[in-house]
Amino acid sequence: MNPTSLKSGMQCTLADGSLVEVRGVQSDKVHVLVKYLDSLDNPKIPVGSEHQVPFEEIIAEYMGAHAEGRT
Amino acid sequence: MLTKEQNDRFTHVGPGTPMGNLMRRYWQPFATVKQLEDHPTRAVTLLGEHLVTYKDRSGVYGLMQEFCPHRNVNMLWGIPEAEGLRCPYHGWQFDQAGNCIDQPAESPDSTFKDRIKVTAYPVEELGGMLWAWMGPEPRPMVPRWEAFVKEGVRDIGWAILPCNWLQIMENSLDPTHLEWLHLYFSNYAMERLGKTSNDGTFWRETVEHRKHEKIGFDIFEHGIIKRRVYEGDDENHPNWRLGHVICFPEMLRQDQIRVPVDDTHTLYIWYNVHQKREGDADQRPEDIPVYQVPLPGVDAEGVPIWDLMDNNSGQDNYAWMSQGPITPRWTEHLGESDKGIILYRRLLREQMKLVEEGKDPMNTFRDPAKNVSIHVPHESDDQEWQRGRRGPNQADGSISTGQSTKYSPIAQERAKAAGKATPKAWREPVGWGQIHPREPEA
Repeated sequence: MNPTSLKSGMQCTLADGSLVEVRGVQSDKVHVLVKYLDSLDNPKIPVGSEHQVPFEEIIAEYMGAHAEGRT
Repeated sequence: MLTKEQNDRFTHVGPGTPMGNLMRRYWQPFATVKQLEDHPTRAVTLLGEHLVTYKDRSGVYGLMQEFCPHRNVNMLWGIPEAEGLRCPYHGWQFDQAGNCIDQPAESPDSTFKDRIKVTAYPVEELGGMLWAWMGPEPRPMVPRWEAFVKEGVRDIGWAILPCNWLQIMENSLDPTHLEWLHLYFSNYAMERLGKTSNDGTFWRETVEHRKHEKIGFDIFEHGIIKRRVYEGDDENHPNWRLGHVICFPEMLRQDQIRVPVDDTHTLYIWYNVHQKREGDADQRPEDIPVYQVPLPGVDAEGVPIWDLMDNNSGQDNYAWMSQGPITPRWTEHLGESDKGIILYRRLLREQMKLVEEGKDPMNTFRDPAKNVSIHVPHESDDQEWQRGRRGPNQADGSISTGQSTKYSPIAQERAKAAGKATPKAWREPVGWGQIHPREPEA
C-alpha cells in the first residue's frame, strides 16, 4: 500500500488480519499510529489501544465483506 | 504476520480447540463407499482422532474409536456383525452409537456391558462418499452440494498431504499464484522435462504468461467468491463477473475438498463428475472408482522429481508440502496481493466466534427445502466460457493436460477408447521436498 494514500480516520486491515483505524502518519515516514478496532484475539493488543505499526503491516483499506485491488 | 498463538488457533483441529470446534460443525468426508465395499473396515484419522470405520452385515456404516475399551485391541481387525462391529480378541460388540451390546465372556446376568460406551460418530453416505458428524446434536443435514447430486459419471481421487489444511485452503484465496506457479513455473517444469511444446501426448503445452491486473473477493452466503481480471480482459469476463468459489470452510468449488486429518496432515479429495455419455451405465455409489493421486517430491539424492510437476495439482501439492507441516506464519510477510487470505482468516475467526457463542456457522443446513441441490455461482455458468474449457477429457477423447484428472480411471478409459495416450508410470518420491522440515512447535 502506498503510505501517501493513508488518511486519518481511514479503517485498514493489517497483515495479521487485525482491523485498525489510522490516527496519524508519523513524521519518520516509517510508522503509522493506529487504534485497534479488532486485534484478532491477540491478548497483547487490547481492542481500543493505540500502537505504532510499520507502514508495510498495513495491507489495504478495510472494505467489509469485500476486498479488491490492482496487482 | 500472525503470532504463534494465533497460528495455533487457526491450524489446530483436535478436540476442544477453537478450530476443532468449528470443523466439528461440518460433516467431514473421510472414505468412499467403494473403499468399504472392498474392505469392510478401514483406519481413519479425522480432526486429530484415531478411529475405525466399518460397514456391518446389514449395510450400515459406523465410525468408532480405534481401540476396544476391554484390552485395547485395534478394531481395524474387528468383525462386522448384523449390528455393529465385534472385537476379534474377546468378542465385545459395539453398535453404531457406541453402545457395548455383547460381552460373551461375562456371565449372562452381568450388566457390565451397559456401563461401557465407546466414542462413536454418525455416518451418512452422499455422492459415493462417507461423511462423519463429530459435533454436538442436533446434527444438521449433510449439505447436498450440486456436484454430489447431479447427473454424471463419477470417480474420486485422493491423497494424504503431510501438511496442515490451512495452507492448502489459503492457496484458494491467492489468485496470483496461478500466474506464477501454474504458468511461469509450469513452463520451467516443462523445460526440465524436455517438453517445450504440445507434442501430442497428454503433457501440458507451454503456455503464455498472463498478468493479473485486478483481483477481488466477496463474502457471500456460502463462502468467498474469488475474482480476477487478466491483462487484456475486463470486468465483463466470467473470471470477474461470476468468479471462482470457495465453499466454506474447506472446499474449492465442490470438486476439491481439503479435510483436516490432524494438525499436520490433510485428506485431499478430487471429486470428478464426468459428463454422462450415451451408453454409460447408471453408477451405484459402490461402483464409483477411487484412485490415489501421486504426490511430488524428491528422489534418494534429494533431487526434485519433475515427472509429477506437469500439472496444477502436482505444482500446488509441492508448494503446500514444502511450506512445512504447519507453516510458521509468524515469519510470513503478506502484501496487498494477499488480501484474500486475510479476508478468509477473518471469516474463519468470525465463524469460530459464532460457534463459541453457541450459534450455527455458515453452511449449516437444517431446512430440507434449502438442501436439495445447492448451486454456487461459477465461471462455468457462462455457457460460452464453458465451451472453451476442458473437462477431464477433451472433445477428441484425449486427456486434458495440466490437471490431476489425468490420473482419473474414467478419463483414462475414455482416452484409451479414443486411441489417445495415457500417463506412463511415474517414479515414487522418497520424500516430500521438506528438505529441512519445520517442526510445528518450533
